[in-house]
Amino acid sequence: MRRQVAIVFAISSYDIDRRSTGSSIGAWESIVNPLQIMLFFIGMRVGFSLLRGSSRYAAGGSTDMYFNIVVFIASGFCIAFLFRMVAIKALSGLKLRAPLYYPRIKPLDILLAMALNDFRALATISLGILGLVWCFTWSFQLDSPGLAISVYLITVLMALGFGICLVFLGRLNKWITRIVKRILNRLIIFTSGIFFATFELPEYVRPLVTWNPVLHAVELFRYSLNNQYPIPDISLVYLIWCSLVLLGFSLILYRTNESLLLESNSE
Amino acid sequence: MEGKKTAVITNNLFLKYQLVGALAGHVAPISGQILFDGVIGWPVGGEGGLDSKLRISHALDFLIAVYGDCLEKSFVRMDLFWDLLSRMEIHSGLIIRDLSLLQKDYFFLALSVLFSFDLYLIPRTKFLMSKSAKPLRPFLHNQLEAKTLVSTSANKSFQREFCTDGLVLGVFGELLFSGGLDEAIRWADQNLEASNSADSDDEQFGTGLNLLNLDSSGDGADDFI
Repeated sequence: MRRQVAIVFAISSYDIDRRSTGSSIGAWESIVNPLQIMLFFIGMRVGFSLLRGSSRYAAGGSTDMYFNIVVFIASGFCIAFLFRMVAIKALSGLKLRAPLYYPRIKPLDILLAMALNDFRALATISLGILGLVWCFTWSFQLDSPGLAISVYLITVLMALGFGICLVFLGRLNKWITRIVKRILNRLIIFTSGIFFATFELPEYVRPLVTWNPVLHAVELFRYSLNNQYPIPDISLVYLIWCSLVLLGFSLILYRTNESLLLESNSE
Repeated sequence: MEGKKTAVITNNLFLKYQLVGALAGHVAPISGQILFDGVIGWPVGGEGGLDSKLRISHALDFLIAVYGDCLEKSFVRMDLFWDLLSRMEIHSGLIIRDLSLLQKDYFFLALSVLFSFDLYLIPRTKFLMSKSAKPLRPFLHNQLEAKTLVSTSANKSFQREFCTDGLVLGVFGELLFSGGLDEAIRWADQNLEASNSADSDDEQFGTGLNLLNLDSSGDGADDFI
């Protein structure tokens, strides 16, 4: 077990190292790419708020009653994009294949290492941005640190389970892969609550988005930052169930089809 | 087979690849299973696992993390390893793709010699038996003491220097002869049809698997809306 953990960390460093020598910004590349998207999202949301002008709920909309707008977007982004990055990468197949040359390394180790790198990158960005905002506004708030860590880890497990399932789906057909990729991107962007809060939605619209467990993770994470934040129809139990079912199913799938991942993806 | 140094002699090149590939865990055996109590090394001198963008130090750190227990049992110490590399002007900061062909062959052979495995797989021997690899051969001999070796190389001088037993396989993998190396070579010379590949074992080792890293830049920032 200890050796397998060491192997996952070694592959994780292997991937960062090989990217760093091919990039002018070195090892920072893994952080800069998601940071660009995150800053774009924050800029977009703040831009819309400015366009809307002053309202009774201030510049950030009703969510601004509970959060700084940057914290609101960053907290949604770090959860939803963790899920997206792990899933989309998995859908493209096992791109880091060379380590499989060594008999001790299995495809699952590579998937875990890739997820670990995404987790590290997004956690670093999120902590950096939250720290900066707290520093500038001098209003540190983390009401339930235990819940925040739990939600983050449950999301990692769920992303991993979903990612492993998608690795196998991605092997079926490149057109299916492309369609699923596009659907996934849009679903994650528009139903995961990066830009909106569930309590802002009318009650009859909520069932259209609350099926998405990523929304539950995002909203619970925000709730853990500020316990005053309302989370109607959001459930930790639902999130845990989704994670366990996805992870369990993916491990069974992996156990029975591991040899498929040794073959190269034709795309 | 454990504890023996066996030269596998066959005219079927595909069978050689598949045998080494199955033992190394790259492909599943068509039938049966491989039972071995110990650590099976990657093919000696094989460069398949390391990305050419890695620095020498990165590559070494990676392999030490994966095969750290094999390094503890090794006869070759790290200072000696770096000394061996410096003879070919290979330093820790160099990137693998910037090495010359000779330096690459030397580095990958040195890596295989650094770790102590219970089973060594040697599919190719052209560089190993060359003059440039002479400083590394004594260390490989040391590592092989009381260890198992399986080689599919047809190089006779390698077989005589490193192997003690011979195994002659037919075209379909059936066992034709098993015994001492000299008898096996003699038996093969008399009974196997002459093959073009008999003495040229420098074909690129391949198992039909693509183990190249693919560029994953397309997964990042694009296509998110």
